Amino acid sequence: MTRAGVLAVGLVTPIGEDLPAVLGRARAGETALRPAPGLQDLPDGRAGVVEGPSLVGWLRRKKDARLLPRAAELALPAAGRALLGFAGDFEELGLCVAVGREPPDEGEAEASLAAIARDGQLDYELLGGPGRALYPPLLPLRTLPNMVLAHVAIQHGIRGENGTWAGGAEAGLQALRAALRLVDEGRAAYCLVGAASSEVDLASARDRLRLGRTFPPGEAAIFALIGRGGRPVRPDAAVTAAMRAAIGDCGPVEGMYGVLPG
Amino acid sequence: MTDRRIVVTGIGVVTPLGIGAETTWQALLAGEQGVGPIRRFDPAGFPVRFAAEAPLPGSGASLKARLVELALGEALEQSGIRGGPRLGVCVGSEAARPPIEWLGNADVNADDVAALAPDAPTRQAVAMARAGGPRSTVSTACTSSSQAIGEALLRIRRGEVDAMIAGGVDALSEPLMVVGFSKLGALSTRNEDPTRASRPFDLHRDGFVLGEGAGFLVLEAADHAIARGAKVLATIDGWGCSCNAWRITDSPPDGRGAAQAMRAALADAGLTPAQVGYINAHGTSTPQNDLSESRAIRSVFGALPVPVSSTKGHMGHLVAACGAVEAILCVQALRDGWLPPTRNLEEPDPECDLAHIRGTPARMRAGHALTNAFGFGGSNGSVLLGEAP
Repeated sequence: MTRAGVLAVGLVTPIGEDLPAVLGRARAGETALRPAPGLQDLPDGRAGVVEGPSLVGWLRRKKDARLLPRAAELALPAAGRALLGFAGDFEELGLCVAVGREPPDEGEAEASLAAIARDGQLDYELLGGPGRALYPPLLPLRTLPNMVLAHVAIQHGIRGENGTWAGGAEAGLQALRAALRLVDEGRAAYCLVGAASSEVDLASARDRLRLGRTFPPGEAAIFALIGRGGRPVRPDAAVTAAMRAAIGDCGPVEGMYGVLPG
Repeated sequence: MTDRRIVVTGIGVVTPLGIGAETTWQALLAGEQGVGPIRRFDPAGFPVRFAAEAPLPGSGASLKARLVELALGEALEQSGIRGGPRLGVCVGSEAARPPIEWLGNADVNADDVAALAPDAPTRQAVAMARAGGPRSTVSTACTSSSQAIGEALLRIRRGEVDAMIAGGVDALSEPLMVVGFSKLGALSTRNEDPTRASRPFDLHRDGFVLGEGAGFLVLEAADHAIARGAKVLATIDGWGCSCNAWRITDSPPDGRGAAQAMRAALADAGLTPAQVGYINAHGTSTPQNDLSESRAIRSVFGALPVPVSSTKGHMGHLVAACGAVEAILCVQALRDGWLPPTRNLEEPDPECDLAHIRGTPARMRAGHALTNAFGFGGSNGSVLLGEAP
């Protein structure tokens, strides 16, 4: 069995950003599921939405904010809190991240897409012309699955072995397993492992409906700093279940609650 | 005593050069190239009207599924491995793009949505190989399938499994990607001369060429392969990985992240730079990447004249699939004693001062080969392969 301890945890959830308080609220059955603006046409219409989060103190340059997909906005403070006080070598700090669906474009491409339709069908000639001018140049980068990893690494200076795992709820556990492997084998002295997911936009909601998922969507990020020794990593299924009920279904994030101590 | 060295027992690819590992390899050695006018859609009016498309019909998720079917099918057949709980799968891929016609249309069935997910190729590979072991999907842009090989290596070494399917797939020759990447300034715009557009390390390089393809390897613990009588094609000796922590699109000019990954792969394999006989560079043909990678190679290998080439001159940039496809080309180079040249490298950039293989393949037994993959977002991966014992 891999021996690794959870040294610090940071999280951003719809029921708070302070670990003890969040756990207390989840166990007490509090919920953050509320009617969500823009999703009122969906069958449930509720979602677990984070207010904010504030990125003050988590960005090297303010202008970097325009590059962040929503999941990365959630991830930066969560990862930053898990790293507070970390004094190790950032070249030997690993980073394993799980993500949910590919980040949506949050409507940015719509003006371009509207300009390329003729009679409701895509017109390639229009896309090459007026549609292209309206297409946001940073969009391809914002919608890559590894953008959470990229922004966390850049903003927090992490330079060790890394990876992004995708593919539903099991992605969180894959990332955790990879992190434990890195630490156990000494490929990284420490590893920041976590997940970030946001499914509270209309495009994600549409896909959830198409997949027959009716549970309200949510968004959250959680990161843990792990290192050799200390308390063994151990799942806590009760907390997982309570969290999910409180904040909604956040894809791979749910698997990650297994790293919470206690 | 068990032998947990990692060996390759099966390879399979589909690339713009052809269907099948041997077809691709022979075309590469013959100096053929797979870049041409875009056929997937009418690119009239687009800033870039060429790509390196795979020789298959279709688009989107169905094209990716066909690429996986052919490439993995070839690797499985060559390996002869049988499924079971000790066979795992790790695939590097990204989500397929939803058809534009889906916008605002709720009448799309669940299977079609699931087919777009990044892990759809993984699920397909699991089913094809009847793999009952661990499965995972890694998605780090151009480093994805290099990372899949790394994860497979670590899982086998630890004894979690006896064998792993590792590979990747990508297909980006579609309208929104061509528009998006050209607006980023990442693509070559040499529309008048597409066959010379992908020119890694050349002084007149102006960007990469979007490609399509898939590559899969069957990796096994040596004792497992030997016990079942499988033919060993090569060994996977080391894996190194790092983050640039620099910028989303650029790599640091000094190449420090890439150098860190290469050093980590060497350390993992227990090799010195002098023991590497060939470097298959990431070499995208973008001004920034090739310069940064050159400096990284120099910082690790110093004045050693290790032969270097980038096969993207022949087949463009296969993005999530490039790490696996290029590792397979290294397997073939180690097997046959031929090192492929960098196509279109006509006037080497003096700032990319490496021991380039130019013009024709070099006849040389490399012994060990290092293949690099560096992704948007700053993830770097280096895989070290060895000649079959």
